[in-house]
Amino acid sequence: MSAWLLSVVGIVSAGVLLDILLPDGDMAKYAKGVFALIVVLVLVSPIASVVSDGSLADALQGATQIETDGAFLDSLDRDREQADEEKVQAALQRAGYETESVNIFAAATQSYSPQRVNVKMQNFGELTDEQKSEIENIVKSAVACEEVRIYG
Amino acid sequence: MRAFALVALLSVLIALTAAPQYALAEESVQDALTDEIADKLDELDTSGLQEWFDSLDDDAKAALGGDFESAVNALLSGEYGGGADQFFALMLDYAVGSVTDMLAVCVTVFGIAMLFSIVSGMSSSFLKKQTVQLIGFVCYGAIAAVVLARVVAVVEDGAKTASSLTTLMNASFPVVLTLLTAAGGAASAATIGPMMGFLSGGVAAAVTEIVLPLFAAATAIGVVGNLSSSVRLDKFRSFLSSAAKTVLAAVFGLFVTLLTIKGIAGSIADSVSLKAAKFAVQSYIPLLGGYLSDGLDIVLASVVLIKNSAGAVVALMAAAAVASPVIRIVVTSLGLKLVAGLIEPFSDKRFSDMLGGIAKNLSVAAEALIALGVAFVITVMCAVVSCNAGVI
Repeated sequence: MSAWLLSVVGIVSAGVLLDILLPDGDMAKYAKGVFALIVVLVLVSPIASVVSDGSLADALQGATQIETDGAFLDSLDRDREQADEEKVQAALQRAGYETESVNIFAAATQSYSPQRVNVKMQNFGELTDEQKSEIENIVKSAVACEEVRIYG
Repeated sequence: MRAFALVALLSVLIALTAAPQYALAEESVQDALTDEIADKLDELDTSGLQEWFDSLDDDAKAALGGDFESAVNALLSGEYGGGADQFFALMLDYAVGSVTDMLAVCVTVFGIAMLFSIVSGMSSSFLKKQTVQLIGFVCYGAIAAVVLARVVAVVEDGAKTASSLTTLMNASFPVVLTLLTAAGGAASAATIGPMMGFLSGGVAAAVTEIVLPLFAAATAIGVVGNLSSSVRLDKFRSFLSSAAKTVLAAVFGLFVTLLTIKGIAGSIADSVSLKAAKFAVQSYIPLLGGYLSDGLDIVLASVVLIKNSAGAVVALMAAAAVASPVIRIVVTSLGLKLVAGLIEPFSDKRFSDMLGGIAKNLSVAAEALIALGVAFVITVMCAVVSCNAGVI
């Protein structure tokens, strides 16, 4: 681009100087005509190279790949799993159920999405079907998940 | 009656003893949220943003809050109010500095034009017509050299800013996209992410590889085109200038339209999935110091708050980056128009036409930078306003 601009400026300046220095007459007219043609050729010269060279089109179509911070998202998912496990334990404790452990299994996607909650109950053998159903409802109210597994 | 009074008294006593507990609970929520925000900010990789922050001058850094994390923390705690005054003072400094620089150029151009006017006035006395034409050529060259030195400096500043904005985009977009994903905006991130890539890649390339070079070419052609009445390049200069404006309008118009459509679609998809999850849990995310409830998702709340604050700080950084070169370009354009108007009555028409043409062309460079800055801010704001689950 700078080379092209310099050539345009040079040719036009030379033409103007010639216009000043040449005496009036037919020769001056022909010289001006020739210089006008040279100016036009210099002006259009880069257009062909821009069209045939694909680098400009490539630059326009180029898109940077934006990547998320995987380590931060993993750490966040672990924090949210832990917080949800504590939430489930607290909710079950308030309802009078003692748990040994609560484990949340989330989907392997970028955003946190609990799929299954495993609840290990202290007195699993003594639980009735109604109680197990109640535990399942309590867990699903505390954490939006698809499946609850209760075991002892 | 006595029984009623006793029940009423008991109710009041219970309420009075419960109220401090609620206040205490609210305070503990606020402390937990503050701690969670501090932890998350430490874990988040903002080194690229801090590096860009460090490249600013001291005045700009002070106006933005010292460093990136301090600015985000100040915004989160509601203590960012002082930044507006400092920002305005910074813009005023830039404007005053540009006016001072431009004054020297205007005085020099005015002096050369005045000198030529005096010399050409003597032509009828003892100077040949060709000598006057040669002097006119030299004076024109001198004015062009002085003005172009200033214009080149201003445009180089603009090109550096476009490149600096691209660096800021590459540093901030991963952070904003990560926070958007972490806040539950998977669909929004999937639609806004490619648009961010296109902005920092294709759109920025259109500005630096097409628009700014076309503007430079139009300016140069405008200068040589006014050199002599026998050299007519005004239509070609007009074509170059129009081509630059057309490319700018097309690229940014398309970008903003696509971003708006995709951003709305992604946001709707996310709000549907978030509502399904949140209504099942029945929890609310409070404002800082606001109301509380059971099952509060402190982790999500902290991420949403960091996302919005970081997005706002990034938008301010982009505005600060673009402001200085745009102010310089605008002041240069106004200065050239002023001096063109002042020399027009007594000097050669070529001089004022050249100055007026350059001043008009400078608007292309300013528009390119403003458009890039605005597109950047809009993109970041799309992420900020998406997925604010429960936060008003």
